[in-house]
Amino acid sequence: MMPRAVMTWVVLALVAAPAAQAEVTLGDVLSPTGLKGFVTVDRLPVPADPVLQQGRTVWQGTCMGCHGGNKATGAPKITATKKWQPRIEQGLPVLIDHATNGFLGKTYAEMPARGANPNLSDAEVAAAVAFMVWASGGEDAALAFIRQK
Amino acid sequence: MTSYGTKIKAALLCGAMTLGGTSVAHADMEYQQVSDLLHLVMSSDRTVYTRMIVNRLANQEGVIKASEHFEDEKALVLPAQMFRFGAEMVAEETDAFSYSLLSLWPINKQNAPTTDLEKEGLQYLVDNPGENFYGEEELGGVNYYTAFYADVAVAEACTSCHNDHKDSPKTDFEGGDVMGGVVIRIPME
Repeated sequence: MMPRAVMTWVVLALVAAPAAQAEVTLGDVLSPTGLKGFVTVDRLPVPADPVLQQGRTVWQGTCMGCHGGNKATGAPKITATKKWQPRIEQGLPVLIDHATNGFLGKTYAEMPARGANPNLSDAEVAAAVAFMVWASGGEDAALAFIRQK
Repeated sequence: MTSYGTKIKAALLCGAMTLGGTSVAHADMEYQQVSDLLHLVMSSDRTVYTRMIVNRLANQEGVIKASEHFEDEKALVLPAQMFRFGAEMVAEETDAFSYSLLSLWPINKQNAPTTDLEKEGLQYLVDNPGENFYGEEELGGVNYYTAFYADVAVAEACTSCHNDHKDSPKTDFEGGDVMGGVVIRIPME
């Protein structure tokens, strides 16, 4: 029979190891109000699609400062499905147009053109929007948009 | 990020925030909580000014513009200037706390960090997106609790103004970059 101390260690190791190595999935991050605290890119899942992967990189460099959960900006937080649902319903072309050309919301919160980064190409902006939609409850919409392209 | 459990009587700060001599709160509050709440008020006011005044009148309706040279150009003050004017007014009214908007790359050299903690705190904000920084420092024989909150480039006007300004030491800001930080300082004695 295994000594109790050894058994405890084995159980703890079995419980801890998979958790530390587990990949983050959409199911882990999506909720009506999104992940708690500020969302940095390392807390988000890595999509399989290369366009979404590019979008994830662009998101980290330009979008995260606001869409990671900076409330003062009025930007909807990534992973917060309740905030994103009505936006996703408008369709990705509308969201990409807003992100590319800039947009003032109902309360005059500003989405700056290209995230205030004029060096971003149209394709990079579109990829970032698609990634944000994908990671905020719009997986089907994002993948359909990419396939259509 | 450092955190301290030192207590502060909320009444200390509420003395500076009273209406008709009635204290807003009486409970003990930690320094961090006090500074976080102060920052919430400051950032909310600045956001409302940015949205309801600058964005609405300058960007949406186009009836007036916002400019650094607001007097010469009969324009609105920039949100960052509005913030600084508020800080100056608070400094005239109370010693219970102070605040400022500092940067590692300031257009005005007076807004550069001067203490070691300011340099450490501002660099921490740049290196750790979404996080605040808290610390203590002794200045002139007085111990201060000092809190740092990131100031992020959220509009094209932020980056273009700094990148194009002749006195700016950094000219490659991009949207989402941490451009500086709000620093709140509370004397601990």
